[in-house]
This record gives sequence, C-alpha cells and structure tokens, in this order.
Amino acid sequence: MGETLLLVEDLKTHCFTRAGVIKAVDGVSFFVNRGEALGIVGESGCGKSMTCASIVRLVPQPAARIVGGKILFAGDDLLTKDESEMREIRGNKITMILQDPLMSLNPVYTIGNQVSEMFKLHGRKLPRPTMKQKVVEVLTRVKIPSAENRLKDYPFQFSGGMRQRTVAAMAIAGEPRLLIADEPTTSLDVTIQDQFLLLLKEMQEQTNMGLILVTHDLGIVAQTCDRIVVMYAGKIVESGDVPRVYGGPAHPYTEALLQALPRIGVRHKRLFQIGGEPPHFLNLPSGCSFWPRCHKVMDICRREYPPSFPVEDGRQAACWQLKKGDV
Amino acid sequence: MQPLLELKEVYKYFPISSGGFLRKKVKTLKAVDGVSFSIKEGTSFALAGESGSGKTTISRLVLLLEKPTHGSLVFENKEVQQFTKQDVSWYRTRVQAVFQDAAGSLNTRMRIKDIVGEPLVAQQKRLSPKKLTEKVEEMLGLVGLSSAVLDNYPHELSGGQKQRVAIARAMILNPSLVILDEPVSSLDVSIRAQILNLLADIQERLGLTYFIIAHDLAMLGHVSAQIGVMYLGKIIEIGNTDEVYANPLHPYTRALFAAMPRPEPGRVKEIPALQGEIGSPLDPPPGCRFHPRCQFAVDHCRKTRPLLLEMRPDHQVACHKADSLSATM
Repeated sequence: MGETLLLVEDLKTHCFTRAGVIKAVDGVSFFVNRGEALGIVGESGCGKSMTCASIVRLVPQPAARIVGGKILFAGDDLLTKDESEMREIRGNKITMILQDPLMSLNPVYTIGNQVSEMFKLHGRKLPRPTMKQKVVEVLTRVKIPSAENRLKDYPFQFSGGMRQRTVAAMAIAGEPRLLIADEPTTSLDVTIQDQFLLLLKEMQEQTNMGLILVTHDLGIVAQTCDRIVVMYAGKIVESGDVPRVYGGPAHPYTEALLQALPRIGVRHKRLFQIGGEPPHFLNLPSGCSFWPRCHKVMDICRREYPPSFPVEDGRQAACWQLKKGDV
Repeated sequence: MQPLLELKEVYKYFPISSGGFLRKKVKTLKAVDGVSFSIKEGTSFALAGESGSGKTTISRLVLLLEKPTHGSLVFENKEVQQFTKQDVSWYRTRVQAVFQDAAGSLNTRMRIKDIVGEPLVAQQKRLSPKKLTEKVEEMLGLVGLSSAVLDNYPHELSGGQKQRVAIARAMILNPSLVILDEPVSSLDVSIRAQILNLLADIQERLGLTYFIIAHDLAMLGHVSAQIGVMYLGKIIEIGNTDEVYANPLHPYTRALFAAMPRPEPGRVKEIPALQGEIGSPLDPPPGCRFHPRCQFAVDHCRKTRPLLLEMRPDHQVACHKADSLSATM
C-alpha cells in the first residue's frame, strides 16, 4: 500500500460533564494509507463518531475537548492548526458524509445551488456556465440520472438514495484526499445501500483517496474496506487486515460480534449471544472494559487494562490472552 | 395445524386529495394491493421488504388500526370485519405488538411497573394491586429483568432493557399472536442476539405465534418458519423459509440476498447490484411491479401482472420468468 495519509497517535477526546469526565476517545492510535479504505466498527457509544469528529476538529465544544495525542495528516499535525487553517482543510482535503442526508442538505436551497457552493467556498471562482458544467459533472459522477434537469430541484424532490449521493457529490467536489463517511447508509434500504457502497468504493479507487468508513455493520466493512479497527468503550481493541481479522479474530469481543451475527444459510437453534451490555463511560469496570462480558476472562483482566499485543502482519489486539508466557 | 390468522385478498388504498377548498380526490396510494397469507398457530411468519413495500400497513391492518379497502381478515375462524364491540376488545387481548423503537413506545412519564401492568388494568377493572404486582414481576422475570427496575422510568434503562420491557408488556395478557415490527433493528449487534434468543425462548414456553416484519433477511431466516417477500404492495414470493432461502426464484428476492452485506471478506456477489429505486405506490408500474428494475424483464412482464404460482413444494412465486430462472439455478 501507499504512503501514510493520516496517522492518529494516542488521541484523547474527553467530555466534561457535571456528572464527571467521559473519556469518549481514550488513547486511540491508527493510520490510513493513501488509496486505502479503513473501517471503524463498534456499537453505539463506543467513541467511533467522536474519533472522526476529532480528526476534523469538530467535537461539540465546550463540553468535549481534545486533551491529548497527535493527528498527523500528510505529515502535518492538525491539532496545532488554528481555525482558519482548519477551514481550509475541511471540505477541501478532508470531507465528511454523515448518516442522515437531510441533516447535511439545506431544505430551502436548490441542489444545484448547494453543490456549487462547494466550488465557491474553496476559492474556485468560475464563470456561471463553467460552474454549471462542473456541478453537472460531479452529480453525474455520483450517478444522479439526467443531472442537468435536476439542478433546480429541492432536496425534498429527491429520494433518500439520491440525497445521500448528492451529499457524496459535495464531498468529492473538492477532490479530497481523505473522505470520512460516518454511518452513511443507515437511513437507506438494502438495495440502495448496496448501490451507495459500490459508488463509494468506486470513487475511492478512482481518485486514490483514503476512506474512513464508520459503521456498526461488520458486513459492510467486509465488502468495502481493506483494514478494520474495532472499538469498545473509547479504546481500540483490535485492528488489522479485513480478511485476517474476519478469518481469525484475536480479541474475544471481535470474535463474539462475528459469532452473534445471524447468517444466511446457517440455522442454529440459538444464536451465540454476548451477555450483559456495553458499560457506561462514567462507570467503567476496572481493568479491561470488556471483562464482565468476556467468555475468556482471566484474573489479570479484572485488574489491569491490557496493552496492544502484535498478532501477525501488522495486526494488533488489546487482550491479555495474547501475552506470551506466564501472566 | 389450522391457521390462527388468515388474510384473504386484502387491499388497502389511501385516497390522496389535492388539498384546496373542495379536497378533490386526485390519486390513490395503493399501499397493500391484494395480499393473502395465513399464519399457522405456534409458528413464526415473516414479511420482508424495503420501505414503501406495504409491510407496515399490513401490521396496522392486523392491529385494527386501519380498515382494509377490500378483502377480509380471519382470526381464530372469526371474520374480523364482522366483529362486535366485545369481539374487538377480546381481539385486542389476543393480539399484541412490539415495535421497532422501544424508547418511543414507552411513556416516559410512567414507571416500568405501570407500563407493563397497563394492559392488564385496562382489561380487568377489578384487580387487586397485589395480584397486579405479582403478574408484573412474573412478566419481568420472563424477559430477564430483575424486579429492581419496577420503580424506574424508561430513560433509566438501556436500549436492550427497554425492548425487554416492551416485550413484557406485550406478553402480560397472554396473547396468542404477537406482532414484532422490526424488533431488533434499533439495537446494537451484541444486544440483538440476546433479544432474538429471548423471543425464541418465550415462544417455546408459551406456544406463541409470531408475525415478524423486518428487512434484515439474515435475521428473518433465523427466526421464521414461513416468509413472504413484498414489493410495492404485493407479495412476490412466499413459502417455507428454508426452501425460499435455498432456492430464491424471484429476481427481486435474489437481488435482496445479493445486496445484504455479509461478514465475508472477498465475497463475490452472485448477481450485480440492482439498478434504480423502488417505484411509487401512487403510480405503480403496469404489469409486474418489479419490471423497471428487473434484468430479465420481457414485453410480457410490462403488460401482464404475474400471479403467485406454486413453483416448488410450499414455495410460490409471482414471476413470468420463474420457470426459466429456476432452470438456471
């Protein structure tokens, strides 16, 4: 794979609430190469969206603050940038697609107007006809049928799939080097989701950009991503190549998640189930956050949080099971 | 086994008015367009389909929240259309529902014990508080909640616990049919398996009949005995779940299977992604409703509507090309 595009090191984003400090992102490290798709997987409240918001420095302030770590984007630390420099980067070099396209589109402006705004904002002043041509071009790339006739439409005249494709068009308009898609297909139907994921993959491969896909669906990661990062309670528990992680998950949480999925063509009397519930951030168990639900729990798990152990070929997992020798 | 619930050629059309002074009726939204199926006692029947396919309208018809435009529903050999007032209140004790969004279906200002006990209070006016609490505790035990949550409010519970409360409330009247409308789609992956196993346990213990509505084929394949696949208000394929999953015959069913994301890296899809989007029920395409998206469509499909025909044992398909398609499998 190509050179490293994004390197996140020991990122810590905490939320300061009246009830206490919530360590939503607690020492997260990962990287994305050029032309590579990384999937971030986890359940609701595991910190995956907060990680993404931290990369573009859009954490909800003042409650949440990035309190430590480094975010190196093409070698530059984003945490040292001031707001005007960040504005240059957002929407230009790093763009985002969010879960609900209706939240990203303004209902009272036309589609053409909103997409052309992307060109205007980033200092590409173009004469009107060229601008229109550009907008049609980018909408055609995301497969909006007869785009030139839809420029004067409003978002409500588009279907859910078309709205999300319009958001994708806005995201790639500035030819970004990194695209962050946070649960982009949760509001879409299965067949429309399939179309959108194929489009996303196609765009990523054509432009050789990096892609971070945040989802709770292990199936989506399997068909779209090269590498996977699994998060639990604000920490990364396992990371590695998708085929290897799926073939032999090293962390009991990843293993349990994969086993708990109902699969087509396999019918068990009962599904494998993970007991208990994800812990609350204000009330994390001592030691490893997963131990109360873990089927391989040992004594040390209750006392100490495990470091990341290398597994093979760049795979890592934070589990005491992987420590060689006596524990 | 005799059917517990039977739908016979059920239609539900909604008139859409133009607005304005005279409210002239301009269009008809064909939400459910001639659907028949029956649910055998003690089994699980599933309806699958994308949004706009009419599956939720069917659940509203079964819950008597809507009246069908044509057709009839038969429950325990009684015609639902001819129900008297007493029949309706009896029916409401026999048929209960669990909805997708547990948080939304629980009153935020009621305590858990009042939420779970309410159906019983509504049905039996003279019930001693002691009996009521006993029954509520029994139901909480059934769904695996401790009686410590009795005095809690819904916001104090997690998503999975809220769904358990919704299940307990549905079970307290000892119904025979429970409608599960997307029972786990709002839950986290690790909680889904817990709820599905719980529902299976309760079904086995109480001999319940489930009517499950969802879009997740992997989940439905695990929990249902019979399945119907809907597209734009019609059932296009129906039959024994294992049989339909082993030999999907309708091009739409096959496309759904292919579009399901599966945790199998490097999987090569059997067929290419489906083009286009589901049509509008206001103006459904003529002939087979699926033809604008179907790669096998011929002229015949554009003109004549296919009927549900038995192509294999316990497996019906509405497709003109099903014969030739089953040969290519």
